[in-house]
Amino acid sequence: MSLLGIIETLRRNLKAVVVASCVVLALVVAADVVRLMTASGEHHAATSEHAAAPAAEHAAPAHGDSLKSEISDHRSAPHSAVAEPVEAHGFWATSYHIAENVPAFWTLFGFLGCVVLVVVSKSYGHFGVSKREDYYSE
Amino acid sequence: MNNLWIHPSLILICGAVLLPLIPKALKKAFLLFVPLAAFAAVLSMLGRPDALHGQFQFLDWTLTFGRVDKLSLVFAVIMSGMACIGTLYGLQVEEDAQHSASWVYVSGSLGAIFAGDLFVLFLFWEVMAFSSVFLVWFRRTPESTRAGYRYLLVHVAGGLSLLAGIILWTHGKGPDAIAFDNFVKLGAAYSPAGLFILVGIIVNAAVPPFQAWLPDAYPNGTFNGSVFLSAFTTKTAVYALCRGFPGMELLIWLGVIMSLYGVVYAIIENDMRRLFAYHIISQVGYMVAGAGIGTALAINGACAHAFAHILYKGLLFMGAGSVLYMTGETRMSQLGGLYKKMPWTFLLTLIGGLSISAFPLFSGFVSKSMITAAGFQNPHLYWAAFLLMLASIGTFYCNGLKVPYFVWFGQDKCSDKVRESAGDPPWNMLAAMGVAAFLCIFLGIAYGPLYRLLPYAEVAAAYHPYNAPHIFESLQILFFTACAFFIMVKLHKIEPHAGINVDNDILYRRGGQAIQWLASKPIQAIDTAVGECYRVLGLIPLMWTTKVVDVFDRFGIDGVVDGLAERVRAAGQRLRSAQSGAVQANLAISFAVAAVVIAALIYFVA
Repeated sequence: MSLLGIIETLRRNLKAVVVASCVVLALVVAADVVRLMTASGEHHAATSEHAAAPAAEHAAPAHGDSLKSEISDHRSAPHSAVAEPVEAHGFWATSYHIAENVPAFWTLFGFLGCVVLVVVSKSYGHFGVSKREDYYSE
Repeated sequence: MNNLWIHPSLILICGAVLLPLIPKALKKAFLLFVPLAAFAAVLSMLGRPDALHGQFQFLDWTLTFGRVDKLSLVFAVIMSGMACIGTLYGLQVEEDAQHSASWVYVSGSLGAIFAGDLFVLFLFWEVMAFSSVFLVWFRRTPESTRAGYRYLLVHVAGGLSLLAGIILWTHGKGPDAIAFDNFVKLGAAYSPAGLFILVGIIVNAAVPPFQAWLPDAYPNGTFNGSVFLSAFTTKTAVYALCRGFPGMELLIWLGVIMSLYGVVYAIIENDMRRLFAYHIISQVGYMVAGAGIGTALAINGACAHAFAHILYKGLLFMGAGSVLYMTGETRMSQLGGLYKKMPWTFLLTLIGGLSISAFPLFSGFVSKSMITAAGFQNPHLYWAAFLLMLASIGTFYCNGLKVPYFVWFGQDKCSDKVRESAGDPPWNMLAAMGVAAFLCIFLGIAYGPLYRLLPYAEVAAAYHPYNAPHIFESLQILFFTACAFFIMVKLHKIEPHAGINVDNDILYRRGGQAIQWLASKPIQAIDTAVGECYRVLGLIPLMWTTKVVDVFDRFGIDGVVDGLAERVRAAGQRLRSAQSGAVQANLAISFAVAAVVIAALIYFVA
């Protein structure tokens, strides 16, 4: 099948292509949300493991509090000893800018950013920047 | 000293000089051989980096033509490689001078990159400016001639600033001061000398407010000349920033501004080559910001991005050049629906568009992210990193969506002439695009060799672009940008319209026109009036007197002496015919004379 044939086939089945793209879109967003949730789950797991050892020696009621403070610690100070194993350089590694912790942040960023850029640019153009093609040859 | 070291610029310049002497049957082979030889000369240095070659004693100074280290090598590899791809792309061009001009241009870039001191840097800086302008002039349209002069005007001014900075910097210092080194480390980045040098460099990097020459000149180049133009001048400047001004905070600001500036203009641009030119500004903004951040990761990012950028931007300009070559049209308001006629050009250009947009598995993904990652490492630079992410939306919008859609799909607005002449270009053009497209994908998947080339290889080895946050972040941004794009297409909000957008070059374009009007109307009128008075009152009586004296002089005195004056006059007549009056030829001659005069001045004064 020639390249042109492939393009024509895709165009004939435009609806299917659009549906498939939407499915991929939804999957990407879903995967990211799941990743964030499991990642924070991992934080829990990792921190509770670390927290569990000293906590076991202390009274049980303090456990919940220490877990919370460990997590907030972990967010504000990525270099802390607790954070080290979570911040592994593996595939599921998390980075530490705020956007990573908002589900679907980049979805909104991409969509709204595009609209804002186009609106700003177009109005900038209408503001007297866009001219006729023969502007300089007058 | 290694005697085997050959400067790749020397190969290219010799090739450029010898090219007209090569018989026609061997021409194509020679055209491919010369850049490949230069590429091989660069590759042969990979095994033994960190050496100084080609040092000459000139007066008190030691000039260094070959500083080979990791930073210069990464730029030299991709530039000499791009020279091969670019020459293959323009293989069918018959005019030798076009190939010679582009080779001399590349040799200027390579010379500047290997330059170890400021004088050699300046020398090759000027070689670049004066050879590249011919790639615009060879288009031979009235508009390209004018754009070429404006290009030259800006670059001569930038070169003068560089020269002024060099003189200020070296003045009164020892002979070692001419070394081209890290001005930030020397504490001179914000000194007058440092700033003059910086301005000279950022003019070439097209940093606002000195950016207008780029979208003015590059879209006016020949179909293959613009492929060369897109690769060398700005990236040589990025190299100079990485070398001379890493970690200068001002550059972060400038880089972010230019990355968004290019995007805004590209969104409202109609001509596809001018759109790509604005995206050079935008992409070089990432590199300038990377140089400004200055950490090992950021410098790696700037170099890697320059490497990837030369390939995908070359590919995009080759795609646009193919459309121009086949149809003679690049305005999107006059194109559309071309996929039936040129499907391969579409596919290859799309690969370039996806690479520049940092799509996973394409080269931009492994290079651009280093710069943003370096920004996200430092909470004080979050703003810069987020604004660069915003610019990357515009990058995908223009290169990955707008151009492919409105040129190859969308509404067919082609004239009959364009539609009939459209078709995939000759084999060599497709082959050059194929090589570039292959490398774009190859680098996106197997980025190891590129990372090993980078100046801080151990930092690069610890950086892994393919991790879940980065992939999901990129896919979300790209997919939802596409989503917004197709919604706006459906709403008929973003169809390209005929028209141009005024950049700040209006200052010298309209300013020049104003001066021309002033000169041609009021001043000319005064001049004519004064001239008329002079003619009536002074010249006519004077001519009468002169005639009498002339007759006496020639037949009286010269006849007595031996007719010497008569012979000098005849020689002068002959010399006069050598003057063609063509400004471009005069420029070449005066350039040569000026070089001799400057050399003599330096020799006798210093």
